[in-house]
Amino acid sequence: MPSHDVMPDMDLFQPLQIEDALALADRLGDSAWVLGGGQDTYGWLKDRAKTAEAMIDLNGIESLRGVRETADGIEIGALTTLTDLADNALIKERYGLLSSAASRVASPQIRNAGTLGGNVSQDVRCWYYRRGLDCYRAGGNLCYADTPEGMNREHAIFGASRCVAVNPSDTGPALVALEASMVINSVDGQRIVQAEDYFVGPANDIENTTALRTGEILTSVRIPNTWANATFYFEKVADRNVWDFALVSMAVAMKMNGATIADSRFVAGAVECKPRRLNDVENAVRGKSRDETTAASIGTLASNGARVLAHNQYKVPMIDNLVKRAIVAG
Amino acid sequence: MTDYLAVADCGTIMHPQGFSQQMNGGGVWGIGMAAYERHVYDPQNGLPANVGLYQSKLPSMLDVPENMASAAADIPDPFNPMGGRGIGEPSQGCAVAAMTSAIADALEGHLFNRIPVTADMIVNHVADNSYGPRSLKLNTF
Repeated sequence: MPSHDVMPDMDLFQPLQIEDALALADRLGDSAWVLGGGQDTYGWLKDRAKTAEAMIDLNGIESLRGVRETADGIEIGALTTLTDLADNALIKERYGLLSSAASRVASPQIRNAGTLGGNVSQDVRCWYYRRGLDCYRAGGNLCYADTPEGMNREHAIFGASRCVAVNPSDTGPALVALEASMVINSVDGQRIVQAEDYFVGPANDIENTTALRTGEILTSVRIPNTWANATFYFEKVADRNVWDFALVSMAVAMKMNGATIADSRFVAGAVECKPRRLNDVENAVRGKSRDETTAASIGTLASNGARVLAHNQYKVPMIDNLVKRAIVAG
Repeated sequence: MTDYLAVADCGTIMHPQGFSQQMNGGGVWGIGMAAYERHVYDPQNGLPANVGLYQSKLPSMLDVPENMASAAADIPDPFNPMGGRGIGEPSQGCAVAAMTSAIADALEGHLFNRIPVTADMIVNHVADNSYGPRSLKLNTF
């Protein structure tokens, strides 16, 4: 795999207004690469596994930064860094789930540069795909990871369809749990996509991890008041405590009615190519109290239907245990 | 690992600060060797998987004990005119042994007989998961 220390030769555009960025994205189409914090982008470019003729650098667009209060919750600019997100007082107070998730992304340096928009829009981290092999996701006709000899410890136990990669985002499961919606702009106008529908699996689109299309830019993320100040639980299991992707992560929002769970959202990360809603678990814990009895009654609800590969069986007990830990925590 | 002390039989200490840095540096190295740094290869295609630092998973500051202590027997080596011995690599070996022993102790004596012992291996063992034919359990008892 060739690696080079200089940027590839490409046109660089640095618009200062979102309208200019959208016009550029429309005009340049497939030949353009939209750049946020660059924590996904620069890896691709450095390894020469992917490149583009033109780069649209969004970092000069100040309107894409920051957290604003709205009539129904908050709106987070897509270019808000993960550090700003983790430290934001409003998010900490009302949506602690998201600040917990943001604070567990990669390392402090990466969080200082990486953005929320980039974290939810990043490509999969399958190492075969990342090194530029001609797999299904790269437009080829085979999967290197899903073979008897494939090294697939980090890969999916759910939702595989030719491709077995997982979505590596930490903030993604938290946003799905909080019922966030994604604001997507293009020259043709604006569309709002629920976080749950923003992430897509290989069965629907094998070459993209999100619903973003050419010419579109994710400009902000809206979080409604629905789950504000709810009881939250976030846990990310990774090999290392810093600078690592999740092996399995769990984002949970619960509304309590006294000692019982009135309603909840359980979302697992890194088990599928999109954050996985655990509807069966949500239904099973409704009206129950947060104790060992409830945790035990969940059994293997979270992992039911899992299809394991040669090296990722451990994700099955891990997802079940994370659900139980979320129930009894606190 | 929350606490770590390494003691070396390394002859006369020439430079106390240099000694403790070697011991701690080798200790971090050993912790990585024992529990984090896998050499992953796809045998069918002959491809190495961990080609970047983030994939190599050397231990970070939060993966090693906050306080790593070291001490020395400080007995001069009679075969060296200065009484000293090298301390570059031995400090790694003792950290590997300490880490794998701690894991075995936590698992009521189970030995994996290989390194690194990663989180997935421990979870599989505790959950009594069945392994594939090329499983890492082959050499454990």
